Amino acid sequence: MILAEYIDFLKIRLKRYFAGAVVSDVSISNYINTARRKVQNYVLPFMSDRFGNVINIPFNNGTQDPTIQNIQYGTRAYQVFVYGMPADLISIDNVYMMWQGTSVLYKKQCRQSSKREVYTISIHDWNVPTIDSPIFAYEYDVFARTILLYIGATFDQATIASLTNLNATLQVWYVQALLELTEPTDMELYLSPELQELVILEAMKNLLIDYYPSVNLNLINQELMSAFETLMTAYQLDVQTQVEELSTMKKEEGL
Amino acid sequence: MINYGGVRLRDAIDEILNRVNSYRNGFNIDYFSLVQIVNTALMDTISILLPVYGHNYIARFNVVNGQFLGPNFIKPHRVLIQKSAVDPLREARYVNSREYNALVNWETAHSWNVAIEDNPVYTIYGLVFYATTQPMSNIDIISNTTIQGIMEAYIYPNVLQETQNNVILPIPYEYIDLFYSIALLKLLMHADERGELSYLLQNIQKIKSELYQRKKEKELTEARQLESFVEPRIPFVPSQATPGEVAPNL
Repeated sequence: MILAEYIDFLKIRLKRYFAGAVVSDVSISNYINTARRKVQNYVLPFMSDRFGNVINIPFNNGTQDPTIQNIQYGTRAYQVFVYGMPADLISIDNVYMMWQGTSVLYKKQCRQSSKREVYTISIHDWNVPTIDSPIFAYEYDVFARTILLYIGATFDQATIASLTNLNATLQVWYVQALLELTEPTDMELYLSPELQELVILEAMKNLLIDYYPSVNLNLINQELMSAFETLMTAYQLDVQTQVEELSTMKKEEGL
Repeated sequence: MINYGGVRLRDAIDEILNRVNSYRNGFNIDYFSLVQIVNTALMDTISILLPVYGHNYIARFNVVNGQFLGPNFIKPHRVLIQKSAVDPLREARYVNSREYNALVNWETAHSWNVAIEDNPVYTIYGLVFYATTQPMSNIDIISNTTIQGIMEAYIYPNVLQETQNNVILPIPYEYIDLFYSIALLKLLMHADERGELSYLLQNIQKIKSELYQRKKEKELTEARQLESFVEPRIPFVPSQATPGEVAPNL
C-alpha cells in the first residue's frame, strides 16, 4: 500500500462524517503517520524482529570517551569509544565488532551493560571487557540530541592502530522506528495488511476526535479492539500450535 | 490458495449489494469503493483464519541471502537452501538473530549445531532473509550472496484490482459468511449507522469463537484417536491404592 492508498481508504471511510468539511491530504497523512507509529508500538513486544535493521560503522569513526581513559591493566588501557546512532533507533538487539585477520574474519559479540555498569565493570579485572568480549551500552544524550553507542574494551594503542588498519567495523542489529510516508507514492514496507487496517482505524478515530467530537466513537473503538484482538489471538494460537507440534521436544521433568 | 469456494470478486460485490440493499443510500456505494472494501474484508478474514487454515495461504518463491521479503510476508513455513546453483537443496532451520550470529561464527559455533551444508540455518530480521551453509571464514555472512534457495511462507495475497473481477477470492467456502459480515460491517460503518452494526459485530465474534473452538475440538479428537501413538504421560492424580499393595507415591 502506498500513502495515496492510505489516504483514499481513510477518506472513503470518513465520507459519511465529512459531508461539509474538507480535511487536506497533508493533514490526513499526518494522522496516518501518527497512527502507523502507534500501531508499531502496539505490536513491538511480539513483532520486534519485523522492524529490524543492520548497519555497519567503521571502528575509527568513534571518539574516545574522555572520562574513562586512565584505567590501566598492565600495559593496556580500558577505553570506551562513542558512536552516534541513527535517529530511528528504538532498541539494540546485537552489536558485533568485526575485523579481518590474516585468513579469517573475527566477529566478536559485545555484551550489553548499562552505562553505570560500564564504570564498575572497568574496575573489576575478573569481568573486564577485552577485545574478545567487548561491552556496549547506549543512551540518548540530551545535549547532543543524539543516541550514543558506547563500546568498551581493554585496548592498547597498538591494538587500536591495528584495528583501524584491519578495517574493523561495528555491526549493529537494531529495531528501527518507522519512517514517515511523505510522498503520495511512498510505499509501506514493514506493516502487513492486517496492521495497515489497524492504522486506518486508529487514524480514523483520532481524526474524528479532532474534527467531529460529537461523533459516537464506540463503534470505531469496538472495531479497533476487535481487530487488535484478532491479531493477538492469531499470535497466541500460532505460538501454542508450535509448542503442540513440537511436543516431543518438550521437557517434562519436575512434574 | 483455495479455489473450491468459487466466489469471484464480482460475485462478492453482487452479494454485498444484495445484502446491503435495505440500507442502501447515496454514500459511496460505487464499484471502486466496494472493491476496496472487499480487499480490506479479505485481509481481515485471512487474519482470522490464518491460525487454523494457514495451509491455504502459502506461497513458494526463490530467495537469496539478503533478500527483502516485502510487507505481505507473515512468517516462514519451510526453507530449502543450497550453497550454490549446482549443490543439492537442504532444509534449513530457523534461528533468531542472535543465535544466527553465534551459529555462523567459526569462533562461537558448537560442533554439534554449527551451520553446515547438510544442516543450514537462516533468520529473518527486518523482513530481510539471511541464510548460510557454513560458518563464516573470511567474509561476513550477511554479505555473502552465493547462498540461494526456495522459501515457502505464509503470505497475504496481493490486493485485487478493479479489473480483476474474475479472480476467485481465497476464502474457504465454510467461512464466506464471515467474509460477508466483515465486508458489510465496513460498508455500513461509513455508509449508515443502524442497529445492524452491532448485530454484525456479534456475528463476527460468534464465528470467530466457533472457529477457534473447532480448532480446539479437532486437537482433542486427534489426541483421543491417536492416544496409542502419543507417549505416555505422568498422571496428575495418583491412582487409588489397591488393597494389599503399597500405595503409589508420585
